Amino acid sequence: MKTITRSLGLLVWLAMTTVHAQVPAPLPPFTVYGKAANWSGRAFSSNDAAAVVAKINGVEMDRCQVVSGIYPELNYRVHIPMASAPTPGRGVVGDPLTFEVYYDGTMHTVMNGTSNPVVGETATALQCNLIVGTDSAGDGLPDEYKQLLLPYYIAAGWGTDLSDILPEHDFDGDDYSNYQEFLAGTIPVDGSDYPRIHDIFPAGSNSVGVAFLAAPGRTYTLPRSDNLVSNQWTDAELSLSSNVPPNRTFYGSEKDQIVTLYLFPTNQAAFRLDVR
Amino acid sequence: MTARGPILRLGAALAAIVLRCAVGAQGAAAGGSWTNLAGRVLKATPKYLRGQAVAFVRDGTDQIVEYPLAIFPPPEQERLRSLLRDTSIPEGLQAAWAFASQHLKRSRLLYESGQISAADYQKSVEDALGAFRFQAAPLIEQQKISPERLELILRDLREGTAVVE
Repeated sequence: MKTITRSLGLLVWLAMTTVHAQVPAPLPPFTVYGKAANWSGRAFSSNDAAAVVAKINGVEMDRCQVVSGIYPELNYRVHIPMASAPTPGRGVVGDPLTFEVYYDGTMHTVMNGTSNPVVGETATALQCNLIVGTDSAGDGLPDEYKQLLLPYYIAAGWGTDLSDILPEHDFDGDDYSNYQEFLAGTIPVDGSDYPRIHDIFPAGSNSVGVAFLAAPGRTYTLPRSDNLVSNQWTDAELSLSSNVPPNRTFYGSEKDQIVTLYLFPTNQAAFRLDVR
Repeated sequence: MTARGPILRLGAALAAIVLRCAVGAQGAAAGGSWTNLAGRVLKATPKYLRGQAVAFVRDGTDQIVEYPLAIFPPPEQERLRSLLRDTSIPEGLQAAWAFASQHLKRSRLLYESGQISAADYQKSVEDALGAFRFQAAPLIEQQKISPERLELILRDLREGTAVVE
């Protein structure tokens, strides 16, 4: 009898040890970050009270509030809990990732990008920009956005269906494609609206004002190059006032507005306007 | 002078009748019978919209009562919205409205900052309103928006004062 009891005890201990050994140790998370935007390409701002939800096989792994103004091309960051072997609530390398964005009281699907993100190595990070909407053509331009261009295409005899609207078209003939204007937040069916500097003017004794029409949810930088032959550009320090020393390298616009950014060049240099 | 007296009085009387007819017509348009989805008839004058509710003053009383718009059939809802000069944007047109609104705002900013001519600005306005009208056409057929309400929305778009429902 004693022997049987001892054997059972040993079996239970062995079973417990086995079960214990099967639970993989938690690992540092895999991080996904980037820009979440609506179907018109406008990046969500903190005011939208939006949240990004990351899922693996339909199971939520993490969610975060959208926070704007921290850095260009960045308004969300989620952490995927990791494990070395398949474990409920954790990801392993190679798991397919899907995202949803919650705003206006509803959960919205995110259109498939040109690449399908997967979970990478533990303690690494992946930049992944998210656009809410449907991309039935897989060309990067949301169907919801194309729907808005369709009346113009029909009126001009360019097509009658969403499939006739291509990202590479320059419908309005302003030298910027539909997709470039989608990214920049300008109107792709209006030839007078395209990304450009409207005015450059001296402001005060040592600053230069650069004026342009900004779009909501877009970030602007003024890269400078001291040597155009080398074609090396770095974001210039800038200010929102000619009276305030430069204190930033980018400006995020929350609305359609004329913006003037001030540069304080100390030597001759070339500048350009970048929009993201 | 005496000969013109009766003519003047007749003219004044005619003007009064015309004025009363005009006022009467306005009153009749504002009041009326309203049949809900259950077939019940409400005799009342619609006064204003508040969110998704409509306020009436019942005939023969001065009491204001509010009912959800949804209790009325869609054509009746549109009749109420038109009567109360509602310019909110119906579901299904909000994206088109946002796009047209942004287009017009940007064109206005470009025009006001001297980047485009008045003719270019006018062209942008007409293009944006034409595209919005195109997007609204199916909703008019489906009686989700009346032509009168669309014209009010287009007017507000032109003036930059529309509100999203």
